[in-house]
Amino acid sequence: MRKIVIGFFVFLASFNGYSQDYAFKILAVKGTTQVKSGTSWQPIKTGLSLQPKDELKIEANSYVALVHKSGSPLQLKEQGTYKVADLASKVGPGNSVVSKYTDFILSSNTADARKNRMAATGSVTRGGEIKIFLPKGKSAVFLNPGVLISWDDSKPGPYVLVVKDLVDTELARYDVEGNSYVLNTQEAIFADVAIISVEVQQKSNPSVNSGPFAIKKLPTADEKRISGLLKEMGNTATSEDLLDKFIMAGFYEKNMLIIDANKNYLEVIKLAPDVPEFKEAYKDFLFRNKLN
Amino acid sequence: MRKNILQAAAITVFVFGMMWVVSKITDLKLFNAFDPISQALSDFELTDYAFSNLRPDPLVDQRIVVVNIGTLNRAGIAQQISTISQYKPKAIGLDVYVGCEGGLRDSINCPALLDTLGNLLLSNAIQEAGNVVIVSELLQKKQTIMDGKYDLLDSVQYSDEIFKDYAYNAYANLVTDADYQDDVKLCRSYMPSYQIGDQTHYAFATQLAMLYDSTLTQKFLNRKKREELINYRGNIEIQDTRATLDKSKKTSTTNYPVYFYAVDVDQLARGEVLGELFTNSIVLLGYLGNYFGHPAWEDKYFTPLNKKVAGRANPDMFGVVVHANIIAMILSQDYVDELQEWQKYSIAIILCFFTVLLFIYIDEKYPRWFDAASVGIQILQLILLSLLIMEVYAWSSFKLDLTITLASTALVGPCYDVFKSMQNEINFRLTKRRRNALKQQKEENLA
Repeated sequence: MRKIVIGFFVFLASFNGYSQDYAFKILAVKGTTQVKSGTSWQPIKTGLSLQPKDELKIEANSYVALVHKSGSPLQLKEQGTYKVADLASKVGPGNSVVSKYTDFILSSNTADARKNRMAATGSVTRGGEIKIFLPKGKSAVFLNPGVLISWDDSKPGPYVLVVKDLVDTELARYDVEGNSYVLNTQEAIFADVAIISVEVQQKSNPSVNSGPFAIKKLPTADEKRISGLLKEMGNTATSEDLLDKFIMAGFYEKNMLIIDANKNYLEVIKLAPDVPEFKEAYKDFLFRNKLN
Repeated sequence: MRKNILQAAAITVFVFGMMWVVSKITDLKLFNAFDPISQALSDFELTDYAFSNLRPDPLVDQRIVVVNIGTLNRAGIAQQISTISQYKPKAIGLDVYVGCEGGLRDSINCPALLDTLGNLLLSNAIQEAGNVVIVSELLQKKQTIMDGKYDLLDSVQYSDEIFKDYAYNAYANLVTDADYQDDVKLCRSYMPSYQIGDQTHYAFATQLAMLYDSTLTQKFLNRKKREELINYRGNIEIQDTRATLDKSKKTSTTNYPVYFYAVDVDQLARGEVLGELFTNSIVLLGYLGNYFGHPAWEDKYFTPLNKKVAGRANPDMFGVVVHANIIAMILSQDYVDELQEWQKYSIAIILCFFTVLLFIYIDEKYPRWFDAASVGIQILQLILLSLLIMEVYAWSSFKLDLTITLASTALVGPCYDVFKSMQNEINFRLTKRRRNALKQQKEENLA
């Protein structure tokens, strides 16, 4: 009986030790952050326990708030890789009364002297921070179901492509590492959607976005007309040959199918990245159609 | 000695008499319109320094998870509740009013009624979860205001029946000076419960704490204080730090930016949160901006945690985080205690009396140094009292409200001089009269 009681308390003690066997927990996350537990890197989830051997990776414009097992919080804002063991050593009992007073008084004294009085502007920012290469208005139509959406990558990724219908109901959301995505409009979610709204957002900061762009499928009458013309093009229309694709890019542009033309130009550049003429032609195409 | 004690008592009475006169004059508010300093400092309390800068760093409360609803519609919120309730939280608080303001149930005044599917989904989610607390609002009838009962709330505006019938209803009113919802709001306290007729209504935070731990909450309610000061622990202030310049600056409005688990609206939808986090927790669903870092001011309050304690500043805390702080206070039994009214006056009278005694002593022994010494003593007392107020609050959560003591300390010097002048004048006049009487008697005797 005695052994059972002792065993029970040993079990309880070990359980208690196990429950405290973490260095930090994730309080809040923003942006792209990863944890290396063992050998692989994985996205951080709120509530996750971190062991002393783990490492954290924080990308640009990202943020992690942690709570130490002692209950003290810690914020990480700077991009970089952090060892959890090192972070644990930063968590102390907190500043003493004297240092708190000193900090408070010194910060109050220097706050005004160090002030930049021109830090705020009398203006606002509206969308368009990510330049999306899609036409507007009547030209925003597509023929082929695979719609390539590409954008300027001057704002660092990763990105989120948000797809909505006309009444702003979110249909899909895709995480994108690069600066383009082929949207398959034959998916079931687009079955009854006449007009599709797409918006590219920076994943770490959704306020940096392209604003919504509406695209729609080519009307049936026009589709029949274009199909007739494609038949006249013969094998060129369906060929995977580089030059044929380049010719088809011109065909689509001529018929005001800018979205399809854009896709063909980019495919050509992807197939022959070392040919500067194709890149020049693409630049001209963007300029002609006011996409840049 | 006895004479001095009587003198000190008389001057103490005079000081408090003067304070009464000054308070009556300021009650008239004749000079308020041209008094920007008073207006700027009207919300200021010395204890705010303790909260915002000087107290020991509090610990994170890991029993509470705050989930951002962003701009989700009712169907989206229903999805959030369904997802969270799978993990068996002890209570879910929905800090969203889901009714028609003023009872106007038409599609123009209450367009949410058109979202029939969303309403049904939300109602169903609340019903299935079984432990959801939704907010109501305590209101005043016009007649009550006309009767001059300005601080009496006499009616309740509930959420719609399809929600309220399946949830715990609790009022979300907080104590502020705001005239309307979007007005500037400073929140230091809240009312744990409110009696309307025969029915006791609980505040949103009280009800959630009750579902989590009824024993602790009952202990809190047994204090029977109509209004409780909130012992703020910390904030949820996740900043948008995309600009390098902003990262190097301390742009946060408080020194305690993240003190509760926080989940953004899209993180829950994308599964970027461990479900176990919600198990046995209190989960609060509320607005923390359209996304983390969104500089929104909707439902945002000024609190004593604000780094800027007076004057114009940015509000620092979303309403849902105020509720989280109240819950943390109740469950941690970390209440704020205050002095009783009689204690405030007693301290002020005792300190004033002994200060006057000291003044009398200096006046008698070192008359040439009296002016300098009395002013020095007053300044020293004011500084020490201010530090004492801040320190006591910072280290023991006891609000040592020494406003009356500070006022009497500020007035004791001038009042002493005025009293002595008056006393001398009276003495002189009485002496002169006696001298005249003696002179007259002497002349009569000679005659």
